[in-house]
Amino acid sequence: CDSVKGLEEMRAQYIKAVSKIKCDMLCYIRESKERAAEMIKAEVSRERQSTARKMRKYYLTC
Amino acid sequence: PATSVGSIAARYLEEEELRSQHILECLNAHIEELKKESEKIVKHFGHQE
Repeated sequence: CDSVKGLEEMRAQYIKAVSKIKCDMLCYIRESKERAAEMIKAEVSRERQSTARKMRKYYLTC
Repeated sequence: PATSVGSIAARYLEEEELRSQHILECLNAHIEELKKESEKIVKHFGHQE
């Protein structure tokens, strides 16, 4: 009976550790994606602005 | 623009390096905790035999 209790405790501890690892990994992956998305968004808007500036300049000189 | 994209990607990867170091530390901490706790359990139930 005691050995069953010990096994159950081991099982609980193991599941707890794996859950924490899963949690941390999910968080890490989500943040990586968000950071990449932010980076792309910022770069696209920067590029868009620079294109608009070039267009304005082009039409003004024409 | 190509060079700035390169430098932005480089900065992202640099930060990513720090983040991956950090998560490795977190995972190691969880494993250490599991080691300690399971050792306690083994000791506790080993003495009773």
